[in-house]
Amino acid sequence: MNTFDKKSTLLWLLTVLVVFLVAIAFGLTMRMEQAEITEIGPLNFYILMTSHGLLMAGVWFVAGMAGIQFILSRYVEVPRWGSVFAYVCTVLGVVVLLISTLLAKFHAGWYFLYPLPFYAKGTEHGLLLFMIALTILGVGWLMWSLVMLASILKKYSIAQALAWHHIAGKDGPAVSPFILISFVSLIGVTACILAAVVLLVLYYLEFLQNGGMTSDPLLMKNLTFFFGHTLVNEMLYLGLAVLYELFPRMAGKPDYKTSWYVGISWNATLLIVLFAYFHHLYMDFAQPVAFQYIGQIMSWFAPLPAAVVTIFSVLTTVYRSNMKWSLASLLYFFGVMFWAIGGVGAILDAVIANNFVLHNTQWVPAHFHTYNLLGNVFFSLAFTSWFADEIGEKKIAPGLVKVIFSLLVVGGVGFVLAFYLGGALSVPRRVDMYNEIVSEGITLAKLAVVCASLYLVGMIIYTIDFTRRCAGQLFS
Amino acid sequence: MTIQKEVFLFFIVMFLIIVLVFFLVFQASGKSGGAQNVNRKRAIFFFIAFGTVLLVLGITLPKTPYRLFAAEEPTQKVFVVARQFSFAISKFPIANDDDFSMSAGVEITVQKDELIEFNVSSFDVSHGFSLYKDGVLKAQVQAMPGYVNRLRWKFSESGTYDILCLEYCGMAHAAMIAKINVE
Repeated sequence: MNTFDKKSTLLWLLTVLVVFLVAIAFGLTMRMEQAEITEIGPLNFYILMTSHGLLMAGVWFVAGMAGIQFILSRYVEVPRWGSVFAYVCTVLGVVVLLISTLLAKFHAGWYFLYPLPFYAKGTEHGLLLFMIALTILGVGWLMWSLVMLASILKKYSIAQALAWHHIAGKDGPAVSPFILISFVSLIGVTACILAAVVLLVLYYLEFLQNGGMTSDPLLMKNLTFFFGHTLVNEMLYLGLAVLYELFPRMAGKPDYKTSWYVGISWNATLLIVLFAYFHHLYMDFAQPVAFQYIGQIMSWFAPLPAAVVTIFSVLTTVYRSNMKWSLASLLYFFGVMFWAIGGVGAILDAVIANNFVLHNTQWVPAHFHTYNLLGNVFFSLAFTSWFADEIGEKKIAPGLVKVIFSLLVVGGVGFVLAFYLGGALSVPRRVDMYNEIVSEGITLAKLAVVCASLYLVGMIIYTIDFTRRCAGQLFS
Repeated sequence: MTIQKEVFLFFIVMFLIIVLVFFLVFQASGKSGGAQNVNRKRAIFFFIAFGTVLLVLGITLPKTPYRLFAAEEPTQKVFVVARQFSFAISKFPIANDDDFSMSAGVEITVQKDELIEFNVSSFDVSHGFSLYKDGVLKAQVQAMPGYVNRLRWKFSESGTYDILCLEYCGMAHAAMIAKINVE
């Protein structure tokens, strides 16, 4: 491990942990407002909602980037400037984003559903600053993805990186699952960021022409969710790529190999995940009905290859393995479990007939918080813990492992359970207060506040311990 | 039992099964021996999952709301236009601001079990048009500017239904409520 890789990864991870704590605090404040514990008012609530959404989506995508970049440098030469450029863009983008929301009061939601940003009251420069923030983040992440893809293609052809020779049973270089999953995910990331570029260009044009041109709302919604849904899925897969590399070694098992079915699974995932986003538009009856059916079919087939192969591999790796459990391996193993549970919540919502009574209720944040807060975050924290074990001079205390893990699991499960119950009781999402029609939401928000506080305490302890063990390496 | 609660119960059952499987494997991690016949078990697992997906798609895809009461002619058209932060609901088309002002805040009455076609649109941003009865979400459709979403629906219970906006539409989104009477 060279000094640059070590220090740059450490800087990425410390940044992720700090931003994550801020984003949790925003989310906790939102739930306190819904629980009627605080009275920050609707404008501040929606400012926090907008900041929380984009910070969370961004920070865990960035955590995936840090893991991919670090492991990829074991296989191929990764240009340093790509990492530095992406880091600078990410930090700058987050700063401008927070200025756009906290100071300029932009509050149209992280997915800025067209044409709401042009109608959001109480903000003069917020939209422009928000668009600039997204542009900076988009440029940084797109360049990073292209640099990583180019790095892989210096060693492997496209067909090899996609493991087609493994699928066909032909000779060729051994392509690890890490390379295959990274390559597939990076293609997806590039595609969704390009959709965001088109979306932003249309926003800029309308903004600059001061309403002289308008865009088609249905087209804009398709672009928005192609970008948002795909980005969130691909960031999960970035975390999984690292899991495929590290987890078998934690169990003392041989490295995973790219067999024909692993190859087919991830090639199928590459295509399927690009069409699953249609489920965000089920309740837009004006959308061509064929797209709606494609949305449900793809949403149900999407988890099949990746999840079946990954879940099965993880279970058989652990079964009778003499695994030495560490915080990293615990987070990987149970992260996969919660990913599977969140996946069940997601595909139930992806049934069009169910979505008719679940869309935009709390069932939606229930399932995506399950596979993010307890799945993807666990994957990235597992990498972070493994990294700390690799470079840190001090070891984590065994008692602290139990405390951190228990707080994250108990807090996380209670937190998402409040959302699932909210979905079952028709409680809407994205509201700053609950009227008498859906007043159960207040009690559930109180439960969520307690549980989110436990999760936050767990993350504070984790961050302090990680900093204690590793921060000194930044300056060594 | 509502659809939402059925989905919730099914989810909890799946939750417990997944937790049980992972817990048993976790418990077995301290033993030696390794997993046997992995490829065969993986194939069985895959085909069970694949078959389940096909079964679920076969059962649920015909039940989408797009084809609700498609074979019948609606006896009543109801026009709905959303605008920050209110609904205008009328039995007559709502084409402009004057029409909107005349219908906003007016509670219309429809008949139980009659087939209604809601023609839902928006004059500004995207909103959600959702029908609640006693706090339970019964049906919904999006209200999008420039488009008309048509939802066919029969009210099975008499009384007052609450209409909530379910798409975040700005600061007063949570207060965007209307009512419709069914007799």
